[in-house]
Amino acid sequence: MIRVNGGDHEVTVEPRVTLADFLRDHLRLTGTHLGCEHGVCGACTVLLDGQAVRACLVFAVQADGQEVTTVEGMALSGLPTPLQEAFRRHQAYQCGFCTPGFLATGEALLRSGRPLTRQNLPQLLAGNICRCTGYSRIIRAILEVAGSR
Amino acid sequence: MKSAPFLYHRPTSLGEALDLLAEHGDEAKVLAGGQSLIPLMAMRLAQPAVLVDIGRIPELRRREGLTVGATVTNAELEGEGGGLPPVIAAALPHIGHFQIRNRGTLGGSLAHLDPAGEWPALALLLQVRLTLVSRRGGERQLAVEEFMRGPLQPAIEPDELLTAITFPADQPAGSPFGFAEVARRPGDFALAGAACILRGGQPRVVVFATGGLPQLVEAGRPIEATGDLHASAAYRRATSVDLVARVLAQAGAGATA
Amino acid sequence: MKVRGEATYVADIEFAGGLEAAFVRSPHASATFTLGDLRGRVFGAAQLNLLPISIGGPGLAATEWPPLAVDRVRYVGEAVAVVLAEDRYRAEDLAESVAVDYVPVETASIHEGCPDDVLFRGGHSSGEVDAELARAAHVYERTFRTARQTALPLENRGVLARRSGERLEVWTSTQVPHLARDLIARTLDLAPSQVRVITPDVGGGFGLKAHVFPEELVIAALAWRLGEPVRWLEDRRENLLASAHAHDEVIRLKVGVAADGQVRAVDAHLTADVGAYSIFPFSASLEPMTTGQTLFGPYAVPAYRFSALGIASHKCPAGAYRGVGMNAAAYATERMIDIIAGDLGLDVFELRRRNVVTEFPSRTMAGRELDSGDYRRLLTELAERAGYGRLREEQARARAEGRLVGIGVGLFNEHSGTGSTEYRARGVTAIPGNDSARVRVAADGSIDIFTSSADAGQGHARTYRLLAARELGVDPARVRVTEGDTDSCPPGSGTFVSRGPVGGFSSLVIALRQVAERDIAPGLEVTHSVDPHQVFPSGAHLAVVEVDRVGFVPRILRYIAVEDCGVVVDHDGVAGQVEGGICMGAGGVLLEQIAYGPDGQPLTTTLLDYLVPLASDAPAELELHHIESPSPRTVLGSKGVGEGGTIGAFAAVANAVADALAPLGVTLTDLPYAPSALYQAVVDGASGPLE
Repeated sequence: MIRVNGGDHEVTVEPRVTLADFLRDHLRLTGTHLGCEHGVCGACTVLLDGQAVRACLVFAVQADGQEVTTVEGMALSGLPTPLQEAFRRHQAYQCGFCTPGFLATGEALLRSGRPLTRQNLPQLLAGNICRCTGYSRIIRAILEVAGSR
Repeated sequence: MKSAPFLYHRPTSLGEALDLLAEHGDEAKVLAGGQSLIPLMAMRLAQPAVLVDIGRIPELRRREGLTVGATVTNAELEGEGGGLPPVIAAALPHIGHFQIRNRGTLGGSLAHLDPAGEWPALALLLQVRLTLVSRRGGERQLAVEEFMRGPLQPAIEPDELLTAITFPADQPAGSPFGFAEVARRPGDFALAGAACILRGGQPRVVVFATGGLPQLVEAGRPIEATGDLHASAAYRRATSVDLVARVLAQAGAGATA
Repeated sequence: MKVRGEATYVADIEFAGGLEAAFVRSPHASATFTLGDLRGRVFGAAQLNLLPISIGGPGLAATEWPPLAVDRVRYVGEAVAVVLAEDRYRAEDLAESVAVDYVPVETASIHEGCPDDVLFRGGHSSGEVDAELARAAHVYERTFRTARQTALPLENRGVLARRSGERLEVWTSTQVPHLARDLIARTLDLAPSQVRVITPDVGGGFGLKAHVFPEELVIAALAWRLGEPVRWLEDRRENLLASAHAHDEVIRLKVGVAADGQVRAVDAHLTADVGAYSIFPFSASLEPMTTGQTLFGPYAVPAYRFSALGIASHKCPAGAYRGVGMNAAAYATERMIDIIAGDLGLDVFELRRRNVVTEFPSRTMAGRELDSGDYRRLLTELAERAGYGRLREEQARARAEGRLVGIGVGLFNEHSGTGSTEYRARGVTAIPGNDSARVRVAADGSIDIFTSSADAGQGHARTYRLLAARELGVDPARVRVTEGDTDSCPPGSGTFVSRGPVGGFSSLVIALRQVAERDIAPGLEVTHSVDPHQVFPSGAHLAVVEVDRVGFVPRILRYIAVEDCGVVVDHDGVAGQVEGGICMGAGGVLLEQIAYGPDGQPLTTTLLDYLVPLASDAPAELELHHIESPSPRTVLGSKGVGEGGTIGAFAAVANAVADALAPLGVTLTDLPYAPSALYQAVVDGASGPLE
């Protein structure tokens, strides 16, 4: 049993199936992207029990009984989150492939309550690659939401 | 990049885990946080027939004073490392990225024993003691020097589990220390690193990420280094020497503060 | 909507019941091989029997690239067979089980009929180079090297093919849908109209996806022959090993300079390592020829000569990556200018001012027709915006404190929007060179736009809506944009060489204006095609870099860019392209390097080894400014902008690092400027003279 974006799922999978492949192939939640499958690029970052993790470095069976939030489940009652709104306003994406991972990372950082600044945020975002590469806009979008809290 | 198939076990007690390891031995690999093992499996460089997931064993997640269970995550230590030697808090943010630290464990880092890793260096610096348990041999304690046989080669028998790590009591909060490393980008494996504490008023210094296992810096003993894709041996040696000076200065500053 | 996870990349297309492919790839750099008995869904070259990709033309050795290797492999990662299974896990199991008998070989040549391994040989000469060099007050000779790199879009390559009756539908993550359609049709001996290529959302291209690859042909062939849907999703390891590399070039320069700093003559020898095959459609000429045409581009040089070689090696084929050839040109040129300035005791801005082209239009000694520009103003603007005098004072103070702080300037011009004339002139026949747009007015008055371009993440649709709103006075929300569908879009070249604002905008705006002239009548449809001529954007960049004395890790503290891409249509879009390009170029100077061992074994097979810039590598402060020199060759006066950021950064960041280390007696020539290499340069610089 796994809870994903508020819904419970009981699915039998091979133990070797990663959480990322489980979300994409078994639940058809294709917003979680595969960029490297060895834990470096951050495109598959999701929230597992509220913590940002690489979904390619977790076997789905390890998440048994836990709660996963993907980009599709971030919006509350269909409305985009403040962070999603800020990404849109700042055009903090080009090709969009890294965006779900950055949103998960950003959401986790915002929820952590740690102060986010122009100085520390680039280091904290070093676990996600944007190849296009719109880091400055991503940073502006996250800081704007952090500043409004 | 998909893992080869394997049999998966998720014991919920230490006894059950030890039974599984006794049964499968060489065939089995222990899965803790998986942040080093799963990439190797994805590349099929590791193809264990059996995976024993120790992520749900309460005994391994305990912390009793200075003894910390093997599956306590780096993020948990970052959040509430109070009472542990203060050099640890300085080193933790350098271990991968925070997403990796959310899953990666203390025991996993030491059992993997990557020479560029921060935990092996801290373990040698602090002279931690490691608790290993098996059905066959029961419980034994190893000094860190005995535990680190070589890069990626911990002294863990195939049927044995690293259960806990005990930190020394002589580094309470406020103890002076130094920690510094050079990496090309935040979260990358270090190109060179150094860490320092004071023990009995004397500095104890370790350098790491120089190619082989972490090394204790001692007068008259040159730092050994090897080169690879990211840095030459000469660079690593020279940078280590600079970093030793830096961490000594930090520890000195800490002592007077 | 991309922020809600609703974009659809190839991997996201519904594929239940289809067959997933995995390739069996060579672990040897050079070997002959035999496949054992193939059972089940395992296919080698003999089973598929596909036409090879043929490359030839002026200066090029005629070579063939078989979609699956035939008897012989030429680099690690080359596909020798393909397998199909119900999912990728099982496909990898099956691929691992295929027995291949390799016999390593070290033969004299990589391709039969090309004994010297030279896949391309070209050059150009204008003016009296030898006489000018003989007369010059100073002659400087330096050899520069750029690193082997790869574009590494975050989305790997991916292809999904499905046969329906006598037609084949192919979804592929490409920048060149029509080129892909035509090559697939030719390979399968079908009429182009039988093949429909569709590009869904593309997770970045940066030139990598401007090629048509063997894998696309193999997947299309399997779907066609088996009649079942087939998909291949490249993984990152394959992407690093076997997609396309770029930028690996040696640039040998001999420059004659008059006593007043005027550059009188340039003699250049360019050698690019193009890997095992001549890539489609650009061929082995791409990197060295582009560099030859771009060297000293912004400067008025009376005599210029270059020779360009593309040499085969047992490595992954080299092709396009943002700024291809031009990065190397700007890097070598601008490093050389700084070396000359340092030797003559001239300020780096002053030496550039004395040498820049000031007349437009004009023809460069490399034979390029510069359309418009104002290079002096770029430099003046840059120096003012950056507060250059103050920066030098701050640098002097930092140096007095023992800090290694450097200031680097990069001036460049680049070509964008290459058309058929220019492609034919350099022997490239596979690219049509034109760009097309179709505008249709729906019954309800809403507008449909179809173009021959293909968005790889640049945000074409937003810009096209702006143009439609401007030309037709319609609400942008009532404009639909379709790209990357060879059934509904008019044929053209695709998305590369920053051609969008050149032929792309021109064809669209002309079509829109024709629609406006006919009163936007419902049911109206206009298609227009433009065969553009190159136009020349330019820019001047300045970087401030600090190198830590412990560990020699360089960090970019400040970055100021002044860009001239002609008339700007979408300011946000342009800023995104330039900022992104600068960050990528900084990575090109400081981080990115594909490495091979002497045995041809790749050493960079993960993203822990191939390092790309992270948020922490982007300049701490980045400022963009624009000047506008409208191009007389485009309808709106616009020019390409996708690559300028990268090109400028290759020069400015490199010069800044070099300037930071200059007090230590160091001259840097070889990319990347990695910590270990900088350390070694400092050690060598301290112990003796260079060169």
